[in-house]
Amino acid sequence: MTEFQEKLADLLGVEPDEIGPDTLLISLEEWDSLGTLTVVSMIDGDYGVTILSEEIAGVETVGQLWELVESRR
Amino acid sequence: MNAQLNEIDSQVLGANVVEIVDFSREDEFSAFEAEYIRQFQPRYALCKLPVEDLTGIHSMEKNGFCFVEFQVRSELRLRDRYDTAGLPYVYKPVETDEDLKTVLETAATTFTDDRFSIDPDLPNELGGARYRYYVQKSFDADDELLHKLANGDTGEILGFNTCKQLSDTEMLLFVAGVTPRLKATGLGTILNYYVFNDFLDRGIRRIRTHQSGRNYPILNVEVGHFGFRVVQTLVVLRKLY
Repeated sequence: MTEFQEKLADLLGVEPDEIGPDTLLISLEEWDSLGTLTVVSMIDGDYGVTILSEEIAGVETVGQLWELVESRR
Repeated sequence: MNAQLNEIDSQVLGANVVEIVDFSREDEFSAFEAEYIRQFQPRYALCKLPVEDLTGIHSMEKNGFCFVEFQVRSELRLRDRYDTAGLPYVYKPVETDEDLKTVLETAATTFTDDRFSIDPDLPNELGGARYRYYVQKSFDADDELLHKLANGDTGEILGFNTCKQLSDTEMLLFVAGVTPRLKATGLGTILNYYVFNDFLDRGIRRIRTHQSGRNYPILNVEVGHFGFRVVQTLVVLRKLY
């Protein structure tokens, strides 16, 4: 999770300690269409997990996104 | 300087909408205005001016026109295909009434930045109605295209786009949108991958489009991700009668 948070923070332009499992993704300024696609690409490349837009739509927090990744690995 | 009736916007507003084209500061505006009022009895008149034309903009403001939209025109030269292998979507023309109904509903609910929606002096629901008319027009017109993006497994329509071919190698992209629940999920960008690949298949090498300047997510995607080049910015002013 820590490594995932660090990657997420880097892609979305925030400091790693600024986000945690309960952070709402929508509260992150760069969590827009392009930011989301960048994160999805990272998850696909680094974790081998394909996440669809329909699935991202149901994810609200950083922790929920990590749980989705973990459940597919 | 000429005044033209905008038929779709007039239908949406339920009253005549006039667009002033070939604006010239040399012409005497009050006489010109009196003539288009006599001819069209408009409820709404609009004029688009380059952002650089401050004198023209100030002139229209003195004539009672108010700023309502900042518009960005941009172009992209298409080179390489986008990788959509592995994505579970299909991109096809809208051909049935059932598909059209779904797309029209998406068009009516997903766009929030057009100048009718944001105008404090107009009813909010006009923006949605305006997009329904424009998408219907693309479905009906011989020289325009309406495509859907659907889930390949379920067939659910997730997005759509409309466009018009300007020449053998140029396309004017009107709108591209996804269903409201999938906004900001990356699907809009994926939709454009399919759109642009389809353009390449048709021999298109240059895309022209325009966006509202308040639509930051789309502007960031177009310029930052796809590499669109901004070619003109416009101020849209309108006067209500």
